[in-house]
This record gives sequence, structure tokens and C-alpha cells, in this order.
Amino acid sequence: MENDGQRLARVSTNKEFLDELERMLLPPKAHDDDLSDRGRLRELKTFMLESNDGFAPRADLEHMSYELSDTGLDWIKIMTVTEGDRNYQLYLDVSDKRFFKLHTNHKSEIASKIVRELTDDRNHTLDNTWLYHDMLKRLASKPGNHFRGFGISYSNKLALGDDHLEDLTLNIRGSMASEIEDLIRGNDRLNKAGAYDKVSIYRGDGADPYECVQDDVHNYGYFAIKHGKSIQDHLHIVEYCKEDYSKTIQGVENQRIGMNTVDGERFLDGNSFYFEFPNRISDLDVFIARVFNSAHPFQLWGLKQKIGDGYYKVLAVDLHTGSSMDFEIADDMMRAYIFKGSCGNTILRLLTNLQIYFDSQTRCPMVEAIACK
Amino acid sequence: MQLVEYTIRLRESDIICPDVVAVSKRLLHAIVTDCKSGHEIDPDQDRRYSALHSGDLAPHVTTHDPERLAHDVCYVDNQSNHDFLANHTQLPFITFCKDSVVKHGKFALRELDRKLSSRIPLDPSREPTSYYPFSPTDKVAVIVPHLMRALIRCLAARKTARLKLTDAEFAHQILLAIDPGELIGHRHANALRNKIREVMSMLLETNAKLKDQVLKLETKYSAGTAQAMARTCADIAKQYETQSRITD
Repeated sequence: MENDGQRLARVSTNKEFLDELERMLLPPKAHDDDLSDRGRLRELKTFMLESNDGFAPRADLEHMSYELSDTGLDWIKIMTVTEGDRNYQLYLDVSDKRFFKLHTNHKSEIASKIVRELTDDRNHTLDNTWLYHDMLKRLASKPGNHFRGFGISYSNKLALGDDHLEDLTLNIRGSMASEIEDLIRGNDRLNKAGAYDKVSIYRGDGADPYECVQDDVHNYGYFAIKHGKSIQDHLHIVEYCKEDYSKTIQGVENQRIGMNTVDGERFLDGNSFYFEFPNRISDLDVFIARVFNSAHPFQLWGLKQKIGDGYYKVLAVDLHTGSSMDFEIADDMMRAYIFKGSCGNTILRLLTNLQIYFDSQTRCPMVEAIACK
Repeated sequence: MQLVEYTIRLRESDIICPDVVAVSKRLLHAIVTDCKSGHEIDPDQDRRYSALHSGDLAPHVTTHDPERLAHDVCYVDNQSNHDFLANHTQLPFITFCKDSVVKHGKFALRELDRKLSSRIPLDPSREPTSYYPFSPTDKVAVIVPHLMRALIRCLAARKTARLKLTDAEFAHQILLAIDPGELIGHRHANALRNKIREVMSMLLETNAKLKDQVLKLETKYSAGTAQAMARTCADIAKQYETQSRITD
């Protein structure tokens, strides 16, 4: 059996764990003498995953299997992933019962493959965390965080026929990133494509690489250190995000439809989530067929029924959790209903991916009201 | 809203089965509604509703002072049927018009009567439809899409290791998928379970493709088969919609 990368230490104190994460960082690019190997640098990266069912101690996935082993810290496990004759080890932070942090310095393609296996597995309900545009924007403005750039990876896959593809990929970093963004916001067509796919966030004091960090935070809960070696600052960024996400998910789940009981009184509770489409959907049939095609990224199965002129109902299933969802869709709006027992992550997955694959200006006022409370 | 399709026995030993009972805790007042989509008001049902005492209602709803509970009974109808229905009852109406909701008649509770006196605007093309999925008396064409969705849901969630599509447990799983908010009263839930089993048996007997896809998904879940099954389900739903249009 080949071990790909280092074997991880069974840390027994918080300090040892932080030291170990720091050790996993190779010299940052700006301070690396050996430029010939720069393409192979392995940055520390963290994935924030969500599950209602905890994190199983072992599992056989489609192409891999994994097993968790203890360290000297209750909240840190070592996850050993086996793929054929290869082994990979990652640290798993289980301190939160719902949001799990996976830390690794494996190459991004390997790390992403592992996460994809975990989130694709239908025997468990692990999902990415979905950071829609405004949530990424808020994260960049938290105390101590500084906005240093953004990425766009837009592809209009939902509302147009195959011969009308619109797409845009941008990666903007630096002190003038905000000015570029202003140019995009001033152009309707570019603005439609302008949802953040990621933001670059800087924290700390730039004079010493051990005192600062620059993270790329991607909209599927992926945090990659690009510069600097301050593990604590990296973890602050992740933690800020978790707090915001956790609060938003909780608020979303408080709006699930079902019977509620307060002081012995039983009543129907909950609200639908109203999505606004300022740019109308040009082809509703294509839109509905593609959102509800059972595949990534939406993972929704749906049965369409016409209930009015240009107005459809879709009886759907979130394949990730197996929960029922109802939708009502017209060319300028969509109403989504989630019911008691279902997962609020579904609403954020929907909002994030509608912004990336349809229109950055897609808004869900209730989600924003919850997040900004 | 506290009761949906719920049976209440009156002190005179008659029963009523209102569609919705909503209660205001603050005003200690209940609105008992019966929805009328057709052109008929049953005089006997109308007599029983008129005979309802708040004391008959109080044990079934939750308030801080059951003895002071008061109530209004009303019909809910559509504007197109209203003139006909209005001639057959003294009870008030909440009427859905093309772009608004209006009241006819007088409600006992003054605040309620005053609130309903001005038209409540509606967006006619965007009505929410998902708070109550369907009733056991709905046509098969209305029920089939919900069954198809529930089937996919049970498979995706792996709620059953081995699906026996016509047994009581499966009907229960489907009922949970249809009514996750548990809005439906016991009597109607039983009626729904029976209806689900009946319709499911009929669908599997008449559709070999559906049966085959269910078996495939049982063995191994795949997005491809789920998509194929989605198409089959859509075809079945469409088939029943067409039949319904013809028989109507």
C-alpha cells in the first residue's frame, strides 16, 4: 500500500494541532527560493462540509473508502482514505456536530476528488456548504478581513438553448480589484454573469509571512491558503464563515413548513422562499428541465405541472437528502417550499447555483433577511 | 390553522367535517370553513353547520380560555359559483375572485367582518398551491404526480430496503412524503392510505416500464435511471391529465 503524502501526527494538544497544520504548509510562493517547484506547491486547504446525520466513522464510497481514527484531541480525527493501492490522510475537525472541517495539503485535484466522493455518496447526507454571492461579500468585510479580489466562473446553462451559451471566467486579484468590480456592476450584461465564484481575503500583517494569510474562499465551502503562513488567521476566516452559515441555515430551517406547537397550541407554521429573477427566464421549459435533471449541481428531481399561463408547479425531490420540495415557477419568480425534517442547505445550494448558472442578480429576500438579522 | 378536514361530533349527535378551522388566540375566535368548488350546498350539511356551538368546537382546538371561545362558520367559494350558492344558505362566504378575495354576508366577530369588508388583492397568476397537496376525493389525475414524486423520494432516501409498493408501510411512507406537515386528520389519512394503495397497484399493473425502473433503482441508484424514471412518471402523469380532460 502506497502512502501518498505524509502520515499525519496524532496530536494531543491544540498547540500541537496548530503546529502540525503550519508544518503542512510549504514555504509560501513569494518566499520560495526554489521557483522550479512552484507549480507543485501544496497549499493548506480546508473544506467545510454539512451533514444532519453526523460523520460516519467509516464508509465504503463509490471509488474510495475511508476510516476515522482518534488523536489525543476528541474533536480532531485523522481520516485515512483508501483508493486502490493509495492512502491519503486528512485532519477532520468534528467539534461542530453539523459542520465539519476537513484540513489537507494534498493537491487540490485529489482533495476535491475525495470531497466529491463524500458528497456524492447517497448513503450519507454530507453536502458542501454553499456560499452565495452576498455571503462571500459579507465574509470579506468581517473584522480583520480585507477584500483582495474575486473570481467569476459563469455559465448560463439554465435559461437558454444550447446555441445561446454565455459564459465568463475571470480571476481578479490586487488592490484595484474593487475598481474592476465596479466596471462589471455598471454593465448589465456583465453584471448578470458577475456572481462571485470565490473571493480572496487577506488577514494580518504583511511584513512577516507567519503573521498573515491570503485565502481564496470558493462558493462550495473550500478555503485555500494562497499566501502567508498564519494558520490562526486562516482558521478565523473559516470560523467566521461557519458562524454566518450556521446562523443562516438555522433561520432557513425555522421557516420550514409543518405543524408547530407552542405552549400546547398546535398550528401550521413556516413560509415559502421567494426567489426574484430581475432578468426574466427566456425559456421556462429549458430552465425547469435543467434545474430538475437529477444531476449536479442542483441534485433535484422534478415533475412539472402547468397550473396557469406561464406558471408551473414542480413536485421535486432533493436527491441529496431524499426530502420533498415543492416549487412554483414563472419567468420572473420561483417559490420554493421545504417541509419539516428537510435540510436548509438545499435553499442555499439552490441560490448559490442559480447565481452562477443563471443570473447573479437572483435574490431570495427571506434568506437575506435571515442572514442580516 | 389548527384543524384540516377534521370530524367534529355535535351535541345533537350529528357530525360536521370542516375543511379548515383557524383559531385566533388573541381574539378567542375560530373560523370554521367549508370549501365549495361545485354548484351545490347540501341543506342538511348547512343545517348542521348552523347548529354548531362553540362548546362543540372547544375540545378540539387549543386556546387559553375554551369557555370563552366564539366562532364563525363560513363557506369558501369561487366567484363563478357564488350567485348560485348564495341563494341556498344564510351563512357568510369568503369568495375568491379573479384578482381578489371578498366577503359576502356578515361575520359575527366585528373585527373579522371589518377586515374582510375591503377587498384583499391577489396575484391571479401566482397563487401558492403547496400548503395542502390533495384530498382523497380528488381525481386520480391529481393524485398520480404526488405518488410519482413520493416514489422517487423513498428511493432516494433509501427509506425501504425492499420496496413492496402496495403494502401498508409503503403507503405510510408515501403519505409522509405527501403530507410531511401532518396536516391531515386521522380519518382522512386512512382514506388517503387506502387511495394510495389502490392507485399504486393500478399503476404498477398497467405500467411494466415503471415497475422495471423501480426494480433497477432498488438495486443501484443512478442519476440516469432516475432521469429515465422521471420521464416515465411525467408520461404517466400526462396520460392521466389527458384522460381527465376527456372525461370532464
